Amino acid sequence: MNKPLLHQNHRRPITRRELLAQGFIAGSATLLAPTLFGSLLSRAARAQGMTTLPFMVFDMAGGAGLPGNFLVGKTGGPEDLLTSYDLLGWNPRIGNALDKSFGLPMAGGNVSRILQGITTTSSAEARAFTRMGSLLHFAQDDTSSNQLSAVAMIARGGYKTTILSKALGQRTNVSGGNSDIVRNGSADAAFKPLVVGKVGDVVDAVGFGQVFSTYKPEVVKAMAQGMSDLTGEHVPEIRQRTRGDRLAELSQAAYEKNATDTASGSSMDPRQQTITQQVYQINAGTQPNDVRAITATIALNAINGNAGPGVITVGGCDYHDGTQTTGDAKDLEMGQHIGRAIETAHRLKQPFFFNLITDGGVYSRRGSRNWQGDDGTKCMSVIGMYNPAGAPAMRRIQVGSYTDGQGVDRTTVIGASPAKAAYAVLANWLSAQGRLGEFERIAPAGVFSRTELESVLIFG
Amino acid sequence: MGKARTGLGIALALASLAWIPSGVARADVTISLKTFDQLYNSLAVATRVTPDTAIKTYFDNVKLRLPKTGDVEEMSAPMLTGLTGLSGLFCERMIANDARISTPANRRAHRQVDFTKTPADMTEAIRQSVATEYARLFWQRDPTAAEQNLIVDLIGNAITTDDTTAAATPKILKIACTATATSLLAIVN
Repeated sequence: MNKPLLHQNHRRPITRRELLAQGFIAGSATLLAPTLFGSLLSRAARAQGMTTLPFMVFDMAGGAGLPGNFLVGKTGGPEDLLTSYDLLGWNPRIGNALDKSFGLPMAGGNVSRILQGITTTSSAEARAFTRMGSLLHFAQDDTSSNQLSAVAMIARGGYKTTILSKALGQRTNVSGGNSDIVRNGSADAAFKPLVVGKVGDVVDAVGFGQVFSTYKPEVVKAMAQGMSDLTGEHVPEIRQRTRGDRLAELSQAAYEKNATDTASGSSMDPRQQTITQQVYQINAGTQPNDVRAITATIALNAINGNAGPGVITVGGCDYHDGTQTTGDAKDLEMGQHIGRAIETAHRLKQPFFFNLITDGGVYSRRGSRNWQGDDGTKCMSVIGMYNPAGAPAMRRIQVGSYTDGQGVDRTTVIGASPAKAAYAVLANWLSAQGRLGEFERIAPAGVFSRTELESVLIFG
Repeated sequence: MGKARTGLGIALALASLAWIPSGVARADVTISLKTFDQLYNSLAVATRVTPDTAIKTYFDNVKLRLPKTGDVEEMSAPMLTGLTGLSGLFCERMIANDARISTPANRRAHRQVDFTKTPADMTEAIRQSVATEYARLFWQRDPTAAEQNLIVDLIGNAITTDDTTAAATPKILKIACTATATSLLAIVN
């Protein structure tokens, strides 16, 4: 009764409207208002001509214990519980073990340090408008070769920025993080994020450059004001020309903004922005290579659309040293990065899509949270979304499944392939914007069948 | 976006064609911004600077922010920010070139500037002459009195208490040169 309608004389459905019409999407009426991208974008973003859903990757390098933080389940979803979780570092069956604040259940009761990191760095209001879902898949342990990062595909997927077209990352890898990008032949060959080792790496790239780096800020500002004043003198002459009125109007705003804002690069520098000062606990005196300043630079400029997608990496996540302590610290660190980014998006009133990835996984000493060794079958990714208009609706909260062996089921659509998981991220990012129809323009033909494509959608 | 044409001969010819004396009614001509390669070439022509590696690299980094088609809708603050850095590089090279020319009459501009003296030694008359030279280079006309005053004032405002040696003179001139080269009249066709 609920099977999709396949029309012999119609092409297979690809747009969301077509999928709805032919029954591929079940029970999706609740999705309409909050997830239509037109209502997602803030007024400020629209005013800037920005029509892209900002995207960030959070990369835990080394194979973190994500299933020890996020609930994994069998084919019925995360709450279709496995027989045991004793190698995954927690027991979801004990009372109050599950925190369902974000849709995807997390290890509550002070177990998940990722959850703790998010909740201690973000406001209740921001978290209320944030949802997460899981992608369950295998990945090789402790390697940068897993093609898990969708960042390159997303960057060329009609990603619009207001100032700097490049993606921002922390590592010199082509992904800007640890895990590799999905390599689609020559399509992504030119992808190369700007490596942010200090605030100036971004500010200089979008400011006046090194040619004025030795000047006092007030002198540079005077120069920008001078060109604005000279332009004011030119306006009567310009207005005499066809379309001169329009150019005069645009020029007034552009030169004024150049003089008051961009001249000092302050709009790009999180140490100069009140929101990021508060969220990241930094100020104008924070060292430009301070890790909080660096991650704030990436998050601020990715989320407000100044730059392309952002990639934040936490190293040392190969934390199976027989203790819980090391893993907790790394999980907490990543949770804080995610929480601060969500809070930044919330205060900017900016919709925001993110992806948590890691290369492989770990298993614990049975019945404990002491991480003992690598296990790539205990891998997963998480996608999340913040929407200032309201909590994003979700079609499902888990794609793929685990088995009672406490490892990923490799027979699912994404189970055996990190790259398939990345394609699923792309599909969700597009779907959240009502742009799923562009999937096959960006991804190679045949990556997913129509049915498979629908089956990996969490958002949109 | 294609590669910028760097042949100065072609650029000179285009620039001369684009030069229309002040006061000629042009209401029948739709105004446009110079495109990214036109900006690059017009700066090279105005300053008579052959772009070096640093200029080419900077241009490659910012050209996506510069006008692609020249439509007025491409006017934006990010575009101006990128152009300011480019103008600054050309101005810096022009000023350095002029400072090395001992016969002032042979300079591209700065014919009354004594580069062996401090910024404070630039008199009002010298500053006015600089303003006129910059206007002619980048606007292809003399400055109005108001425009001249703005450039003269900018030179004064750019001088800080640290600028007490002759080495600071090119630095101050670069501020005025860049402002003139990036002002509206310099970037339209």
